[in-house]
Amino acid sequence: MLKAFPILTVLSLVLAGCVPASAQDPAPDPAGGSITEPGQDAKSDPHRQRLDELLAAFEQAQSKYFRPYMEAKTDADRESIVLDPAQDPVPLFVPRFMEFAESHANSAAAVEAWMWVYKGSVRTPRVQEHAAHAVDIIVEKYRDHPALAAPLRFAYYTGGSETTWRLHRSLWEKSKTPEIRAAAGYGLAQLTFSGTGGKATGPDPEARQLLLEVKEKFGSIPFHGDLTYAMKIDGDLFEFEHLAVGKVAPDIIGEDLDGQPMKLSDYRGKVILLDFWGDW
Amino acid sequence: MYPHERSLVKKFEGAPFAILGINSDEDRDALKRIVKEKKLTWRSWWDGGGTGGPIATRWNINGWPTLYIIDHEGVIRHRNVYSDFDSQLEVLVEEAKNAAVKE
Repeated sequence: MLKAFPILTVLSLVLAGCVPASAQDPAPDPAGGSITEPGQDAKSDPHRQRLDELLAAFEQAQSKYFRPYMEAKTDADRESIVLDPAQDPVPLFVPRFMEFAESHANSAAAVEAWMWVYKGSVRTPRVQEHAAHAVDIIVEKYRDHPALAAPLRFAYYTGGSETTWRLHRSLWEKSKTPEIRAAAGYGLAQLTFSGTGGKATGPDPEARQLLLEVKEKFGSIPFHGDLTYAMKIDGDLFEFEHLAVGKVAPDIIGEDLDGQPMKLSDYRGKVILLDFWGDW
Repeated sequence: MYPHERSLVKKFEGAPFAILGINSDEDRDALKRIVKEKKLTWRSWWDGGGTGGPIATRWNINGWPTLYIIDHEGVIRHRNVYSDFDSQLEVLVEEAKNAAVKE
């Protein structure tokens, strides 16, 4: 069984999350400071292309750095791997992303680059101060920029550091863009859960209240694909109440691959490894 | 994942243990071929052909695979386990055996 994969997958998701497929980079506003509307063809935008090139270079460096993990065959092999922090691509790329963001100020690409700086450096001790700086800039200059919503949506995955808290709390309090407030409020609730021992212990009352507020105010905004915040939050609340350790598993009634009826409660008396899977 | 699951089936042969899958693939016929080819002997629910199926949605699943371990009384005992959970299963299978003896 692969041990490193889930961690790496989450990491690359977090980093890749900086560049949503729908991201579009409007031309820089000659007046400066104000927000330009998205809507131009992303592919034709030279900023977008340069950012994509930078991301591609980073991903290449990262897969090279983590190659020993990918090639390891057993857990024991994987545990014996020691990566040289001096070769970690994150600290090498953070200045390049910062330089890009500064020289393309006020563009959507700059917002994404600053979010990348935040996500890349927040978990890398040597460059953590850059994460704090990126959060300062994002909150001060880009808190209402529409391009911030997409990369913010999964920023809570980067975990409970003070910088992560500050990013979410500040945007929840200060942003005027509904999509950004929804993502910030939802992320803040998730951080509160993990900060109080995680979902397994059930919902923290404060986080629960926050989720209900996000649902009430921003419920119809899409969270991911067809899933709205209201649907996502309903799912989370069900999970906290019924899917925590110590709860009786809700019954699963359906059919198997051959169309035969299949019911979880028919297996009472046995220990069950329940595996949500796909062959991909 | 498959080799580990096959090893669990073998290890707990005859014991009160079962692997049950909830499958979120899109093509049912292709999946049935894979199950046969790769000798996946445990049952799975067909979750409607995608990651947005009713069971995965109800269980609020965001990532695949996600694993839950449920004891003989239907109580969730572990969740989001990734590897090295054989010993946890052993403990629970012993509990299940002891409970069966008492009844």
